[in-house]
Amino acid sequence: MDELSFEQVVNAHYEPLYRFALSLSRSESDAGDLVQQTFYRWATKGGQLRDRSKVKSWLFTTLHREFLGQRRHADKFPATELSTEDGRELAAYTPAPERQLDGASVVAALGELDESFRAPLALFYLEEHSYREIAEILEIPIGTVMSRISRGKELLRKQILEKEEK
Amino acid sequence: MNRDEAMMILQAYRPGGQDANDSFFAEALAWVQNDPELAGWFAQQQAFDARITGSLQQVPVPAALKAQILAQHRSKPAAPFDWWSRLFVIQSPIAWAAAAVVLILLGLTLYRNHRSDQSSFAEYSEQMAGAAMTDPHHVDLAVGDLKSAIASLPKDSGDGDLSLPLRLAGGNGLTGCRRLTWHGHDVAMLCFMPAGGGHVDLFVAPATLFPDAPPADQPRFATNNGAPTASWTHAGETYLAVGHGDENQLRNLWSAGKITCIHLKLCTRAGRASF
Repeated sequence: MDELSFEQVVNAHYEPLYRFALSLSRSESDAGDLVQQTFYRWATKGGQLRDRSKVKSWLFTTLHREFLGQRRHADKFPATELSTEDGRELAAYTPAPERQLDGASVVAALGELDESFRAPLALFYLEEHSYREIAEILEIPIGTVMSRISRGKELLRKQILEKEEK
Repeated sequence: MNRDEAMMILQAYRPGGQDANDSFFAEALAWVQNDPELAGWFAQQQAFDARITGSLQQVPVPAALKAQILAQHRSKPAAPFDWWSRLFVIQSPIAWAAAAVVLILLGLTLYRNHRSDQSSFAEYSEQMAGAAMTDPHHVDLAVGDLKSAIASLPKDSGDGDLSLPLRLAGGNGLTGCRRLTWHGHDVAMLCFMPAGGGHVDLFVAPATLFPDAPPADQPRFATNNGAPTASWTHAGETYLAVGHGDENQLRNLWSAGKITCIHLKLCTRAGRASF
């Protein structure tokens, strides 16, 4: 891979990757490390990716795996897989906060959610990926993505409202 | 699709319109057009999602991050493009086809070698039963005790633990032994004529020769080459007993209907005897 193509890939993807990493890790330094590690992987292994249209998904998948690997290694955040509740009645709509939310508040609210909801919601709100791509990146079934986005939004709304009321 | 399913699907519809052409959402969006209440809910969902999206995308990215990534890349040169990666990327279809042919031929050769080395126990039983019944050269050595017989037999494999039916235990009726070969491997034959009548030839061979070796320590009765046979496996050895009488005579070797074998640990002066 030549220098130019590497830089092109960095230019195109490092910002959404950082925001995704920040949503996952809730730490600016950890997020930066995750992004750097992801691009290091790209530099050393990216040449094996033959379908260049998959670069973005490859990077997000790699970052997510890096995050999971680091979390397991640190053993600070035990993984908890919450069961999905398909067919559940959706909560009645609660008016969204009127004032503009700042990015830090959103990240903080996302950070309050379990990682099983945080990752699909962050990818959804970054708008970089469809639900199918989110399923590929997180390596979970599409139905699980749908239910986690739905349930995660509900939880996120509650988090934001609680912060607004304080 | 019902209303609840439509609501679930619409939650995954990105507010920026990126999914507008995705047919997956078409039916759910049709619900929105025909259900004013659902349309109101969906509009509010989209507004909330747009607000969150806008906020998240405003999260500042450290100014130095890009420079750090590029600097790291420059200081650590990418891994060399190893020859096998190059092979996967640049070879022509003809080369791929040639490689496939070579792999297929190699596989076939290995498979045939494996097949020739690992024959079926049924085929072995047929041949050994034939040898027992028709071969005039019945035993190489006339011996009357197991120790002498085993000492004269090939030490091919096994741990010296000889499994025998109850009525043959202790070498009852042993008259002689013989060496045979099967696909290049030694097979031991012990000839018994136990008190009370009957004639049984017992063939012992390593179980590794057969992918379908008989069950462990449980005689399996059958008929091979017209002769009644019983076969079992013990301690890495297969045993094939070929009766020269009828099947009941063979079954009587296991006393009172018990399907058990006596395991004899036989040791020679040099150590444990093995086949």
